[in-house]
Amino acid sequence: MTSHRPRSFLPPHLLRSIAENGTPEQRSRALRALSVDGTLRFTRAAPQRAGVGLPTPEGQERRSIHTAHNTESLPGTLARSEGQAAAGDDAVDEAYDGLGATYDFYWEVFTRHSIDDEGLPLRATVHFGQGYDNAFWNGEQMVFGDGDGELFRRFTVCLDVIGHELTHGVTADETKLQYWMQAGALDESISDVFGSLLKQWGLRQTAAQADWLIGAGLFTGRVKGRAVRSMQAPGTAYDDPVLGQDPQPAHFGHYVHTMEDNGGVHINSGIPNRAFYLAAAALGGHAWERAGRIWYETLRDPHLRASTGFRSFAKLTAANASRLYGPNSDEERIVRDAWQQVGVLGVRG
Amino acid sequence: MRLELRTEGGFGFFPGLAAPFVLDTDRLPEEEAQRLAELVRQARVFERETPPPPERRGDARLYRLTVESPAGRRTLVLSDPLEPELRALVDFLRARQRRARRP
Repeated sequence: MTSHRPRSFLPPHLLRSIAENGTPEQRSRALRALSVDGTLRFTRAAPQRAGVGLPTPEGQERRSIHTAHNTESLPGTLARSEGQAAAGDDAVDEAYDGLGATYDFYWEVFTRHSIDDEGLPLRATVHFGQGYDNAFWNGEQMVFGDGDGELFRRFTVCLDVIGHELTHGVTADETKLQYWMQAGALDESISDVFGSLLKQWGLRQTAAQADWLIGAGLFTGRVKGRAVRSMQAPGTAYDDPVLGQDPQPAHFGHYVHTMEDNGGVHINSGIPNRAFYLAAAALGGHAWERAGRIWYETLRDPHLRASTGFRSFAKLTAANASRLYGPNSDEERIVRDAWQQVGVLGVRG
Repeated sequence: MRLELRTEGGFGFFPGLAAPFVLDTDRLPEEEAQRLAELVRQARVFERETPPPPERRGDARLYRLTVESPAGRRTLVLSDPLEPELRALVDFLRARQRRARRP
């Protein structure tokens, strides 16, 4: 265990239960224990947000899953809200579990209280549109399609896809990163990083055990491909007569200049994705503990600007590694080395 | 009438799905050409006001729809959710595109 966060003796889920159900004194002790964090943050009273009622206590999620009944009206009708039993609809229940896992991951690993760190209730709509083959974050909530059934299955089947989408909400809350060119590719990469970490955390996998794939299981059996993207080997996830070949570069020297895809945000994200993979693999152990912490603190770093490119981001990750683990620490050296291997930082950094 | 649809964005970028799809009603059976003309009318492609440019947002999808007819040429840039009339037109084109790219 290399996390620098002081750990309470009681596991977080038990503390949460006490915080919810204990006597007033037990509750306040449990809440204090839950909010302990070694990164100079303090407990914030979740401010009341217009229209959403009482703030959600820290460590507790509040989910609502709606169905659009294959129309495009949002949010649609409520199908399952926090604490309710399974609805018996795979998409509804997968979204409910996936949002819960994402909340738990961000809370237990980074002490982040929902997307905005202020307890934003998590809302998702499933069965959006007819054969709709996409999932997206619309600025307020998650939207999942059922997939066309020919190429894509329903978008709730992959935990990393759910984590990817919700992380777009986190990134929008923490940064003003433009969804365009290198800044946009960083936005996409951050979503892949935390989506993959969520999956690894759920499976308790080490960096060496993880598959580092994004969207494994999203394709139907007809598609020749393992996943939508590979963080370990960008450009190798699929090669299919209909979808074409995975266009992701693995090295800055092969950066793709294009006007499509918002300037290649889903294409060039392969470069920072591989840098993260290389850093996590070299650090070893659970990727969310050190590599994930460094990337998370970089995401929260005020120096991260709207137009931050790969090089500035790389330097910021190294600066955060140095701040968290010490100048010239293994962590800092490994992070720099990862960015050098993908050609973003020069040998002299 | 000539229609072109470009679908951009979404959870991933797939080269095989990104190519623009072009449909010329002169090359369609009469019945389908009429159906398409009706969809264009119902979607008020030429009459509607220019929609505000969609925000660039995580994984949101963009549709770049161009219709050329003797009456003129119009390009609309749209994002989800679509109005039902626009959805009907976009889905008609996407269904034909799917059929065309099937190996």
